[in-house]
Amino acid sequence: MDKMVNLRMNGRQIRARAGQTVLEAAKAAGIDIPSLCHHPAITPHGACRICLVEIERQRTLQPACTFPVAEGMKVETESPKVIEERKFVLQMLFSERNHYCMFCEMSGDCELQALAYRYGMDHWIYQNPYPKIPVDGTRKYFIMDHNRCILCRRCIRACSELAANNTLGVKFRGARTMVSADMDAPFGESTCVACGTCLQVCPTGSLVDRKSAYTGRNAQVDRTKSVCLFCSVGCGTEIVTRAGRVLRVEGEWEEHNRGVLCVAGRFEPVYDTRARIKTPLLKKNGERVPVTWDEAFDAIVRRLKTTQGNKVGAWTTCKTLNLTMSEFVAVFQGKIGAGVGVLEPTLAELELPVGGSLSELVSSDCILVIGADPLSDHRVLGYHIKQARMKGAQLILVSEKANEMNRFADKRFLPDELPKAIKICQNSVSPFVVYGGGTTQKDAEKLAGLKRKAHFIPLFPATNGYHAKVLGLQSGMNNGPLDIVYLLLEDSIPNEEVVKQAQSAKFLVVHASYHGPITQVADVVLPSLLWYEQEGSTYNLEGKKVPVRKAVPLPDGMIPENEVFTQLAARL
Amino acid sequence: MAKVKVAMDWLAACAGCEMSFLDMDERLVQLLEKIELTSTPITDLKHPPKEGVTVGILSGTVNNTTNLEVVKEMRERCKILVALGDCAVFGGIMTMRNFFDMNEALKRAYVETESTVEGTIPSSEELAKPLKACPVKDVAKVDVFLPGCPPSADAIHYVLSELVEGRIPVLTGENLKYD
Amino acid sequence: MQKITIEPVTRIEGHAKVTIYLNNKGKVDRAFLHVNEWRGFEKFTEGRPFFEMIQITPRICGICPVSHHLAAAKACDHVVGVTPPRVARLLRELMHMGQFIQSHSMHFFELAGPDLLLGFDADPAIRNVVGLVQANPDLVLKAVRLRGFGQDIIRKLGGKRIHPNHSIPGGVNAPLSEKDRDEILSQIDDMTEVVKTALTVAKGWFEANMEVVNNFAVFSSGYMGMVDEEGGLQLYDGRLRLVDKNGKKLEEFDPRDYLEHIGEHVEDWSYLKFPFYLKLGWPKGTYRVGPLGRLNVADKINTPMANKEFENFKSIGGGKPVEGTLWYHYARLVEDLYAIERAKEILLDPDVTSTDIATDYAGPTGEGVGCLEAPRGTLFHHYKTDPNGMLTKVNLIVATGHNNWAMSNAVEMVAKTYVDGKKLTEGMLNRVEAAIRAYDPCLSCSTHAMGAMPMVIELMEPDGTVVDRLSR
Repeated sequence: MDKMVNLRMNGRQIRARAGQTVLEAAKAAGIDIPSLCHHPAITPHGACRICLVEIERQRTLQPACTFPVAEGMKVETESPKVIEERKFVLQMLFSERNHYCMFCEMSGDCELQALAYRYGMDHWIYQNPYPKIPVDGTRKYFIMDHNRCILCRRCIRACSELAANNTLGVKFRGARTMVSADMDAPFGESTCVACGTCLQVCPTGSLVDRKSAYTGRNAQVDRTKSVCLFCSVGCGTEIVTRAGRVLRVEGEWEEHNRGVLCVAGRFEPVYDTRARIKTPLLKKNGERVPVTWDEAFDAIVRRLKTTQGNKVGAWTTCKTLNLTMSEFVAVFQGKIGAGVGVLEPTLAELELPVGGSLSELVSSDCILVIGADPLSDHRVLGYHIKQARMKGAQLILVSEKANEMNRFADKRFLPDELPKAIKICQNSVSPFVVYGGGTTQKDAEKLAGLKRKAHFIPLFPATNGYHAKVLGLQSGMNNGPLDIVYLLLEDSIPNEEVVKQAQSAKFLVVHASYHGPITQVADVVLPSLLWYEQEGSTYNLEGKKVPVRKAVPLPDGMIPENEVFTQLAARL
Repeated sequence: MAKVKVAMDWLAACAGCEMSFLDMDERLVQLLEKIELTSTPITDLKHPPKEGVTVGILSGTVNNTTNLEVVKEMRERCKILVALGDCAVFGGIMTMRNFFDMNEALKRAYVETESTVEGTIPSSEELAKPLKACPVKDVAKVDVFLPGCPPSADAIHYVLSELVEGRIPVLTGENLKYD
Repeated sequence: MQKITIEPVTRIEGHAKVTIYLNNKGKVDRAFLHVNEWRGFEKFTEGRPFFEMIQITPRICGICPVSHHLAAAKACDHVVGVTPPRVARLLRELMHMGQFIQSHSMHFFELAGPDLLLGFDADPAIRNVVGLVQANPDLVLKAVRLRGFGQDIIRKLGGKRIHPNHSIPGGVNAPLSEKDRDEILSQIDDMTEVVKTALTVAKGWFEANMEVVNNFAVFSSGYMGMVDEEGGLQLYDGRLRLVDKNGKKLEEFDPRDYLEHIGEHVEDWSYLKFPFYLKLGWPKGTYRVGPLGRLNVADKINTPMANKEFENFKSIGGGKPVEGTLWYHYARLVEDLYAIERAKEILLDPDVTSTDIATDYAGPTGEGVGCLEAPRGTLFHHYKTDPNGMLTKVNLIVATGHNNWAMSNAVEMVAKTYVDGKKLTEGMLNRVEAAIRAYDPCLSCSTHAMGAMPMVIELMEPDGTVVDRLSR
């Protein structure tokens, strides 16, 4: 039970937990103390001096964001002295660098500007020295304009504490201080991994997202809470749209990823310019021509009716929703009697536990990673492992190939040295085992010995491997030549092996979002929905079922994948 | 009641503030019953009257030698000087030229641009000399600041209405914008 | 040699000064239009991300910010190598028409109007829009509403009347709602009547003042304007056509190739450069743009009422281009009518409320040219970027600039016609200014700069003794 303290704020009696800061106590009591460098997800810094408040018996004004509450404390948050100080800080901030609100991408949503409006600032007192300050455009997805930077250092703290990448810092001192990357490298050439966490926390227009620049203010856009479908970590996202167009993706602070995304979930999907399949296509006289859904269904059903179940093979990518996968199995295996499977490994054969959580991982003292390259394939989990390391955890990497985690591993073992790694875990307080697709059955049997002691986190090679495992789906297409092959690809790109196998079928149906080499050899092509049109649920890597919500209305002429299967079944 | 005399002039400006002034639409016609426009860029009097005006309004950045003269004259001939728009209040977009060497900027415009043929930098005495760009307050005392790029017609209407009633306007809410 | 100075020229956008030199006989020898401002947009935007130009360049001019907004958007489309969807192009053109409606109307009533409707020699104290209000309040109120109507189209699309936020590389950021479309449509017919009223007023003035019109800065020049494949007037997108003084086609080209055809000449006495047709060289290759230029190069106008006026306009020249400076005022109103008819066409298009408003793009490719017809003439935005999309070179040739030679020429002609070196009258000098006003110059635009000065006219002996002085 936390100890409570009583204090007076603006004449009101309030209660706070011991150890809280004045700012936290105020927020809990519904009192708004403004700030710029403060952000709830990162440690307070006291850099901006906007949150200065009057505390009785303190010699000077104190920053509410770092000052701890004490019993009997008396605080004034909007006294004339405080307001004068805030205005002075704002005058300094605006006069120091070059703030051109009139063409700034953030104008209207800028926290600095909002404060200036709040305190009625209609001009600046001090002369601006007009220093020439650079704009760094070397990153592919977002730009840093140092002119607009107020040195709040939210980006630096986010890069360090949330992304655990430690790329950002400052160079020089005093008025010449600049945010910089590594040893003053251009951002695009530095160790920056383009996770975009800094972009999300920046209070001004200093960090600018290229794609969504000038596309709308917060009040004009729509936000849809959903889940990233680009790997099995399943980060919580907010998809920002306007008039049915996706503008950008932001990380959801309340989900297990705590606001952090990676380049594959935040930026790459918005830059996808592949040609989309908009209608069903049917091969007629050697050419694939647009047809109605009815005609496409008829063509498929006609073949199905004259083919034996064991001559039909149906595979789906794991990069799809729970209901889609379940319905797929129900129709193809259940009703048609076809062989079904998934295109990516599911870790199905590994009888290891699941269920470890990211928040507990960060407090672990020993993390064993095997058969996986998290910083390449499950980046946000990789960032959390690095966070744990920064807090003192030991990282044990079991791998024989090149691995992005190599430089962060405290101990490295080859796969046949696994027992040594396991021993270290056994001697730890709260070990975690993170296992990926490269884990063999033998490895799994050995790791099973840690079942009582450690938490386990599975790294499925593809998004919804969890549900595939639950459904008992096996991976790999190796059923020999088939009469009919049905492939549900969503937006994934099948590898050469899959394409070869598919081509050997007499009749190939490809159900996908984008054109590619495999749609060029299909007899029937059916369009599938894109990641921001999907509605349903998936499992994240903690084994939690999470809702996937569509951010735009269902486009004309599209049918969700699970309904496609239902309709096929209805015609059989 | 006698009409309040108003003079307006522009420095290095884009005319957006003046257009926003006209955007008061019919309210301008009503306002003209209470104010007398003397010299403005759209009337043909070229100087504020020697006997002075109550309200002087300046838009635009101070950026050449003639701007300095205009500011001086307006300040001398008005009681209340209003800085209208981001350029006059903060310096505005024009101040981006301060980051560059003046000669480099002139060379780019008059010699190096891709379509310019045998260019030279104009240097006739008839032309004003460019200076470092700065807001009006760096050159003369300003009494009322109305930022915005441009300030909305509503904000301009509010400010003028207050001045006509003898009050100094206080900008709040939608009237205080920097864009 | 005596020198008369008119400084500043009023009821134009921007800062200008006129010097008139008299010979020994007191007659006008030479006259110069000095454009006295320069800001330097072509330099200080270097290093900014290319897409910011869509919001930076409108600050070149507050009367036609939409022209720059859209020309920048077109240049950015080119930089990223995409064509916006049809709906986006319609909406951009609609915003452009809104701007033509407000800018042309404002010029006729508020800038040029006082000269035409109150008289060149009217008392300067009332020779302005305020005087117009007193003389004909009903007409001015209609004019104010017409301008407001054009501005409101811009606001409905881009959130603000001046310096709106609508275009992005590849399209626009918001669709037109049905409510907004219906609201504009409900007013458009009444507003069209106001434009027609203005045309009637203008035509009446021309009829009554034909002698002045035929002797006021009438001279030959080339003409340039934008047309579609059938030679119809185009304001948003098309090819550029250049004709000679007889109306013979010299060139028709893709605006993106402008550097092959257009050069800029510099004079020591003006901050405004002088564009010219390269093949004919300077000064033979000078041409006029804007309403007179555009109507002189076009073969037709694609909307019915404006086309009828257009045929009337063509008949003035008897098959040859119309040359008199004052005819700009008529041409401007014909375009005003086209703009409002075209706006209605766009609003009635079944796709106008569609949400297919932007094409996705992968990344910058390095260079882009955006060209359209601003109210005052052809506008070019040309950007070069580094591989990261940061601007390395910017070249802008802005509308009024093409008319620089013509305005100077007009000033000289009118000075020669009206200015008597022995005695200066205010009306005399106002006529010189009226010559400039006919071109509706946007000097902020053309010099990407701005400034303004008071006006003093002095008649000086060569040794500096002031012989006569007029000040306003």
